[in-house]
Amino acid sequence: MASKMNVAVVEQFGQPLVLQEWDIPSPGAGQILVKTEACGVCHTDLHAAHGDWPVKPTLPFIPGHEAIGLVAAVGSSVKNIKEGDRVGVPWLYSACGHCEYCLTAWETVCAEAQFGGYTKNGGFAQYLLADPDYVAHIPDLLKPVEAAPLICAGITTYKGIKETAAKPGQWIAISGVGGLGHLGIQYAKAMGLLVCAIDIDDGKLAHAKRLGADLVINAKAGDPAVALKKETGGGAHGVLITAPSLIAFKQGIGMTRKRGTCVLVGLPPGEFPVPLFDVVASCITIRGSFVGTRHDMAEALAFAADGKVKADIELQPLSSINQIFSRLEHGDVPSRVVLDFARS
Amino acid sequence: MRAAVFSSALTGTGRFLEIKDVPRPQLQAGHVLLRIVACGVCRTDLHIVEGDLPQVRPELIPGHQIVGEVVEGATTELPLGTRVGVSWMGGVDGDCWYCHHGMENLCDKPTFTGYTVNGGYAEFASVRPDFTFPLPPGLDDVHVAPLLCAGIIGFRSLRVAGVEQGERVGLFGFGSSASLAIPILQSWKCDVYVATRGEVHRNRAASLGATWVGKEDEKPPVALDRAVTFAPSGKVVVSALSSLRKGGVVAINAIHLDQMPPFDYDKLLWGERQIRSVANMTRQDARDFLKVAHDLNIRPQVTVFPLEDANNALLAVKEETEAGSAVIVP
Repeated sequence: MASKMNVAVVEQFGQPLVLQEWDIPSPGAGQILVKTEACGVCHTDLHAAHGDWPVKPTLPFIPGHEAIGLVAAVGSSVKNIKEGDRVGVPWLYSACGHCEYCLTAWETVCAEAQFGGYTKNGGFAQYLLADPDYVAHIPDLLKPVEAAPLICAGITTYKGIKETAAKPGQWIAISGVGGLGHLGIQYAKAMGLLVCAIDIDDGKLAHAKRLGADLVINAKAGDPAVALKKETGGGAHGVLITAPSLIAFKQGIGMTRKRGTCVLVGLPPGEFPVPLFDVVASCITIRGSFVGTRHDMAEALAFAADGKVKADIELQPLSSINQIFSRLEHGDVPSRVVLDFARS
Repeated sequence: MRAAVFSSALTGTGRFLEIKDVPRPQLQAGHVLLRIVACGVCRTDLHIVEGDLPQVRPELIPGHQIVGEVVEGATTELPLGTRVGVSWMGGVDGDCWYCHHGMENLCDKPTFTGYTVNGGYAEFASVRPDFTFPLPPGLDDVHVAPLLCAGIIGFRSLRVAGVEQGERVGLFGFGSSASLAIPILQSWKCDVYVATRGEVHRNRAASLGATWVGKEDEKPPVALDRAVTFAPSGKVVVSALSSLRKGGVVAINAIHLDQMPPFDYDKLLWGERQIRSVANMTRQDARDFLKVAHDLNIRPQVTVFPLEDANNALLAVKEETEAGSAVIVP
């Protein structure tokens, strides 16, 4: 095995990533080494590189939390994974396994959780270390570049849909037909829900229709909440806001049926005002949802292995990472960019 | 009017019902009078005429899956000629603990159509307008009738069983109600496992796309998340229970069971498996189901019997000679 690997590093917040050669790490006890085949590029990577959030990563660090690869080496005391297994190294890199949240299958909010490409070096690298207890197990039917967006964008939307508590046959509104939303539409249809997609781009709405949306609404044409309430006879039972825009949050609450649940999964920096009267008088639940548990991950991947969910992807080499970031900043990324490590 | 009437005078005659002329019902205050165009036959009707359920009226016109048109007592909401459906819940008091808690199906003073009041094996019926349901326009009268109890209570059974999307669901005993549950479960992306006696029912289940079909004593090849039993037999409940994963639920869709046989708690119920019963229905169940039935284009298979042949309709349900639902037309 080579001793060096190509990596893309954040050395200073807000500065371009630096392409470097690092030593390939060796797995310690209870760790595995993964040889990256593909890694998705998520808006969160941009926030990480900019140091946008209150808890910042320690510099220098390697972003990337949608890494898929083959296990290249296992450390001592690793029992459940062997060399050659295909795994994903997700945002939830590890958790403590014994706090009240871990014990109730809410490891996503464990206070000791580590985050891939944030508090731990991530997948913008030819190799990375991972915790074998928290990696995703990639079904054989999925190609690495197809699986990559599912272990963050996919699981986030899938879990978000579950958290709306909308039942089959009920309406879910999915705001934003981007990297998350286009997967959300497919998951929601596969789960038997009626889907209304909302966006401000007719091209994306046409795509939403192709993906199975039962109803599409262009939010530019007026308040989407009014149109949606009319079409669904009172609003959507569940609403999933994926659009990274504060106005979408407010509109999302307006779209929620009485006693319905509006789930937020996007993380644009900032705050948004809540129309208290509507929320109180209509008994609406506003709920945050953050990635998903290991079991959610297995379910989210199973839908894709069954051919029911497929991410739109654009393949790029690791060396293009700064151009990709610049396009992400300008909203110029129509589908998920996946770094393909088969390309150099 | 002509009606099929049950009374204890028929005991020992080999007939369930006497078809005869009876006075046309008077329109009661606050009711609407329906001219009946079809009435589905339900196993509960059989329980009533066979004495499995206590007799509450000396003479009774059974039938609680009524399709009818408003002919008297019309209101703005229900103009003359409106086609509506009437189900088993003919009314509730609206004032008891259960009604106040969204559980009107358990009301302390309920009215049951075709049991505590006269039902639909007749030409006319007087019913509470707030317990009538608008019907999907795409379905004709005889095909809509079986939706009104078999369909609605089957749907409620899935709710009581707590079925979630994508789960493995067993249907034990397969008649009208179970056959209507299959397309709903499919729309919820569930895998359906059917265990039932009678080849005609097994074939029907297979033709509706069940993942697995077996005989009543066969065990599905996987552990089930949920099961619903449709047969009036405690033995079937125990087979359903023995097919569940830990934490699984069996819902009993039956107003009457012969008896619950003793079963091995340690093996069958321990592990937080649950047995729940399904009682009656709420109006919201009815509305939700009728909407789903319309959205999914659910069309039951039916066998039509003229009112004069009501005894044969009941016999067909008893002997399970028909794959679909029996419907009586006056």
